[in-house]
Formats: sequence, structure tokens, C-alpha cells
Amino acid sequence: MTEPELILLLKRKDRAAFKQVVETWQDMVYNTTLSLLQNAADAEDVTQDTFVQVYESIGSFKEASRLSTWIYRIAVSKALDHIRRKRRKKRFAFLESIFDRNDRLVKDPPDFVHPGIQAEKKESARVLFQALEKLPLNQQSAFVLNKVEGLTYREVGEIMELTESAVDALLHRAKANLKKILHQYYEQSRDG
Amino acid sequence: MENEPINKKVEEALESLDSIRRASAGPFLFGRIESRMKEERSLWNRVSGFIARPMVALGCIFIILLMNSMVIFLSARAENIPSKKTPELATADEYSQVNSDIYEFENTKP
Repeated sequence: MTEPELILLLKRKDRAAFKQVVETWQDMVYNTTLSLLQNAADAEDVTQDTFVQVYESIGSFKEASRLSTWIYRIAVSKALDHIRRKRRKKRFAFLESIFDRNDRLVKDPPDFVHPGIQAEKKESARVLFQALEKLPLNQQSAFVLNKVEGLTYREVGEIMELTESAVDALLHRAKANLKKILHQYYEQSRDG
Repeated sequence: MENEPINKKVEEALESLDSIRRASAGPFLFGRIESRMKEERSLWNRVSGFIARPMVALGCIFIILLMNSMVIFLSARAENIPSKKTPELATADEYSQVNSDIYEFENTKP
């Protein structure tokens, strides 16, 4: 089935077409959201949300880009919304803990290790993902799409609605910031 | 010289994603999405979703405030209008006008 045919069937709310869309792009969406959210349960939740949105909003898809680009865009935007919500929760966690009798606090999950990392690189990748969390959200998105998903600058630009040169600049800044954060981390762990 | 091992570690960390494999979403994702969509389509979820919309919620608050202010305004206006019955009652009291009929006289006696 060609992509325009698939889109047409999806617009008619065809169940088989929707199943094909999910099965074709589920790993792409899950891998992207997992790398951004660094939590398997959250990534699964956002992946489900993404496909529900795809099914509900396919009518508004203008076919100006490929279907996979549009799905990527939804997934990244949903993952970033999730991160923003979580950050807000963390910010108010202290206040909540004052009023909450159970003293519940929004705790950071244990250190994230991406399941696709080679065994010998796990420790370095763990530190890198920790550093990645400290970057601005647009730099995080560009870095994940380029380094984890292996997309070209042009593809990253289509998803983030940026020019290739803007993606290049964004990734340059992301790498410079990561270097700085990693330097600080290794210096602290050497001294302390 | 002192920073050399740190520089090496930083480079290693940056290169750790070079041969990363894609994580898999696991089986039965489609089934879970379908059941989630059915759940979201239930009547109560749709009603609560509609009420939770900011525009709807703000609209409801506006209507309640409008009704409250109307009630306050109308009751304040009603208090300012002099009662028409007052002079009539005064006249009735002054002249000891009592509306009675022959049946009342008969009934007053045991």
C-alpha cells in the first residue's frame, strides 16, 4: 500500500490502516520519546497518546510532509509537553510536600540507561543522558533526533520546522553545552 | 595534562550513542491504544473533557457571576420601590375599616 492510499484509508477511520500505521512507526515513536523522557512508562504513555492524536487529527494532515515526519512532530511535541509538566510538578513539589500529610515528593527516577546501548558504553551513556536533561528542550530534541534516531539535518529541520543551518547551529550549541556539563561532572567526581 | 583523562571521558560519553540500537515498544501496543481510545470515548470522559475545557469553565463561571449580580441588583431595586399597600392599610387602620360580613357576626358567637 502506498503512503497516499494509507492516509486516505486512515482519514476514513479504517481500523486496518490505523493498525498498519501503529505497527510501522511504533518503535520510531517509542525510541524518540524514551530518549527524551528517559523513563519507559512515560515513553509508553506518550507513544499511545501520539497514535491517538494521529488517528484523531489525520483529517487536518495536509500531506505537505511525509506521514513519518508528521508523526515525529506530534511525538516530539507530546514528549516536550510531558517534560514541561514534570518540571512544573518538581518546582511545586516542595510546596506540595508541606501540605501533603504523606510527604510525597516528585522523585527523580533512577539513572536512565537506554536499552539500545552497547554493554561497554553503558556507563558513559548514562552520564551523557544525565547531561542531556540539563539542555534547553529544543537542543535536546535536535540532539535526540540526530544522534539517537540517526536523522539528517534536513530531516531534523522538517520535524522541528527549522532550516538546515538553524539545526546545525542548534546541534553545535547542544554539543558545546554537553561538553561543558560533562567536564563539570567528571571534575566533580574526580575531586569528590 | 591534568585534564587529559577528563577530556577522554567527555569524548567517550559523547561517542557512546554512535552505535545505538532503536528501543522497541514491545508487543500489543495497538491493542492497548485501542482500549485507551474506547475508554476515552465513554460518555462520562467526554462530558468531563468538555467541562474541563478552559473556555467552557470560564463561560460557566461568567454565567454564575452574571446571575449572582442580577439577583443582587434586582433585590436592591425591589427594596427601593415604596410599597403601594402601605397608605391603604394606614387609611384602613385610621377609620377602623374592617371587612366583615353578616356571616362573621353570626360565627363569632358560640
